[in-house]
Amino acid sequence: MKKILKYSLFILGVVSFVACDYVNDPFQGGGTNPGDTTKIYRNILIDDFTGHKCVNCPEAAEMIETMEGLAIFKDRIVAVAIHTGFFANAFAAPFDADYKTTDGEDLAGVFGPSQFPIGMVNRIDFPNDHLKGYQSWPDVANQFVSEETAIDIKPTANFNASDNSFTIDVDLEFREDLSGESLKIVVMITESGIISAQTSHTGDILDYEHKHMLRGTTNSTIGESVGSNGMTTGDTETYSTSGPLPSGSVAANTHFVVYVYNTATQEVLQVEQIDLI
Amino acid sequence: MKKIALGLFALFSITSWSQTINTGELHGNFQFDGQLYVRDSILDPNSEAYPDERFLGQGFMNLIYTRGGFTAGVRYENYQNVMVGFPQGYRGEGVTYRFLQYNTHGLDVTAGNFYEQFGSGMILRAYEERGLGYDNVFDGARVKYSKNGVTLKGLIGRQRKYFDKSTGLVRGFDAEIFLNELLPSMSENQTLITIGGSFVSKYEPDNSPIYNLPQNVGSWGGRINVQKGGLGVYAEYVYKINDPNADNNFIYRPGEGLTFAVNYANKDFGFVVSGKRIDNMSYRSERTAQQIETLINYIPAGTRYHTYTLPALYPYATQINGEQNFQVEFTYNLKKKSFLGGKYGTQLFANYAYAGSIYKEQIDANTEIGQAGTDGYKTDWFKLGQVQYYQDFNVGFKRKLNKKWKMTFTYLNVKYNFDLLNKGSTDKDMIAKAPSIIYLNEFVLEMQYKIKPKHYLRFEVQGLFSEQDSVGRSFDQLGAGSMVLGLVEYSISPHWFFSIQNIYNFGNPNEEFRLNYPYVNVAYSNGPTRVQLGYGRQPSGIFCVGGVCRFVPASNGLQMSITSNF
Repeated sequence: MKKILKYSLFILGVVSFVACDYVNDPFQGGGTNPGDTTKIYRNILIDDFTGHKCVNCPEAAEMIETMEGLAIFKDRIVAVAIHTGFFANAFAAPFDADYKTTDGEDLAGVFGPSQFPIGMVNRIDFPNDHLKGYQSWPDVANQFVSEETAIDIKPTANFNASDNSFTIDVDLEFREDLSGESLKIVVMITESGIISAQTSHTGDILDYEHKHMLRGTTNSTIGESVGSNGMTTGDTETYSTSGPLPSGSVAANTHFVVYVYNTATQEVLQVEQIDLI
Repeated sequence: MKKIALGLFALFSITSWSQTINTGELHGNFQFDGQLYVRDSILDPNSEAYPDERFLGQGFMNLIYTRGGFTAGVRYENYQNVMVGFPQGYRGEGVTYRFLQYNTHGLDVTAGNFYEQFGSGMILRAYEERGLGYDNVFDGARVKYSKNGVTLKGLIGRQRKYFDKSTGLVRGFDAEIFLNELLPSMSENQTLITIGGSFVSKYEPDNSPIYNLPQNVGSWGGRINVQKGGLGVYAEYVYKINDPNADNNFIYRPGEGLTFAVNYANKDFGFVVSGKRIDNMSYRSERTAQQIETLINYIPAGTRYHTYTLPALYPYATQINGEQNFQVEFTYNLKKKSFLGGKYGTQLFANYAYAGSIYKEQIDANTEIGQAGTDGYKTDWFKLGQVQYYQDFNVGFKRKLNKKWKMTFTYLNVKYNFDLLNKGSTDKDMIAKAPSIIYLNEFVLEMQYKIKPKHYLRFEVQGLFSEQDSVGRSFDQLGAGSMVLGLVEYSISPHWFFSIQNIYNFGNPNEEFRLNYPYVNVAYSNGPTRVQLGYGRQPSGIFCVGGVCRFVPASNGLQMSITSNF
């Protein structure tokens, strides 16, 4: 018995010594962007399920801004703030605005957020682990930093101020063989610069600036199939969509988020954002 | 009614059976819960609790086979789809638990899934609480060895995360020594002493582009349990090295915790005095996991757990980021045939519990409390924390009045920190701005009446009287304010059970929400199988853990439950 105790204490001591990492310098420098201009990298779509009465949601929005500012994610983050759920309901003033959309509710129906804030990173890990806390977004996004895209998306936007309408033309190029996959393209309309009330830890912020707010889609959240010209490496395709700007949207603050996803996994293969003007 | 019950059995139930396979035995249990959701435009104007599926159901079946020292088990779970209010990660179905285990000459080896606890669980406890959707079971290997009063445990594994596993790996070792058995000189001693020590470490890769994170986070603890006659003393201390995570806002401060309990009981009198101090003890195998996911440790609430409906509407949950808590509980039995005790005797009980923050102050003038990437704050063990989280004083008695009647009466006085427990406010917020406290006076009167052999009636009248309930409830008005409850149950042992209940939220500050929440229930039991049907309204709630909130909407519908074991 004495031997057992002696060995146990020895094992405990060894494990204690080797299984602890003490950190003296908490911060990294924000990482390094791969920066190889000959390559086209996979971008990162952050779906941020949010609401103006959600007290922790400004932290999630701050996380998106932090990520956008990190060298490692430079020009690689595309964010969409989807106002949905109880916290996004219209309440008494100053929370009487209704920022829910039909398309946002469709996305909430598919992905099922039940706590807020919560989000998705390229919509990976569907259907059981796709909803991720905002503190995990940088860690999860990190896996895409050095990954080249399987499909290149080049959108262009045209705005007709006379009737407040737009046209989005998209050039697609397959850079990997994706034959046999079921892929669809979706074009989302988002808007920044919306000044409206938001609950926060420090109280209600009446002039909070909401960014990347989902206003709708041009072709539903399901989207339209791509690959009519083949999906092997080098195949190209064009896609076009048009319509009126959502009522009340400011053209100068409007963006279009174009992405291609795999319908079997819901995973977003590539995403690009373009400003309307 | 009997035909209906038999029909339900034919549809759903597993026939009660137990059989021997060679010399082994197979046992199991089955449960199914489902709800047909009914649209209720008053409770749920935006249809948040009205799923597209209309009917949702979830359940499981366990099978355990034993033969001699060998045991094997498997559990199948299905969530089709997961019911409203449960974590959505459970969507799906599959085998979530399987293990092989053998036990011989004090050696116990398990491969596959296992639950485990070191000490009181402050640095390791894997368990399942199905009603909450909580299951942090390990998948790996565990070895236990017991001899001469010494029990050694070692384990390695990954924890369950819905239908997947945590990214982190957990290793642990525990030793517990019963001195009276180990040391011959103490074998006749009337004082029984057990000591123990644990070490746990988790490994999780560092993928952060922002922080340098510790990939191996170790924790350790020591404990002692002394028992003499009716008196018992338990104390445990744990420590954890830097573990920046989503719960503590990525601060690098080490964690520590101390818990103690002194209890005494004799034939007529009993008391428990317990307390704890927790500082930054969130410990998960996935540092950004949410709510109840992948917790390695468990810290009990340290307040009385109320099972009556209205008191249970304002529960307290342990604050793993930091908490001071103490509790005192007394029971006293008044003698039979005494002036106060009456013919059959009377039990008196009282309980007081307090929970609040630990004392926190800024590290320096430029660093906010809890600021990410710092040590978070300074504290002092001997100062009371600035924020009160919860306080509960309850007192009551149980008494048999005559051969037909029994009664229990409880009075409760509760202070409930609404900002913390419903909105997820942090200590920093509440130190800067005093939180909203809801003051509650509650009573519960329960009466039981024996009509004749096997026929019983049970009545409950509950009242919850709320003060300052509109404070801080700028939007969550449903269920606010005072309410009363009435319940009548009729049971015919051993098969039938009927109940009807109504909650009336008469004191809601918003007249529109002064609603009734009626609910009727019927259950039929036959041996180990029980079928239950209920219909009515359920009130809403918001639950927050670590700054992330989950809204459980009010709902209306038909609920069914089937349980069986063999």
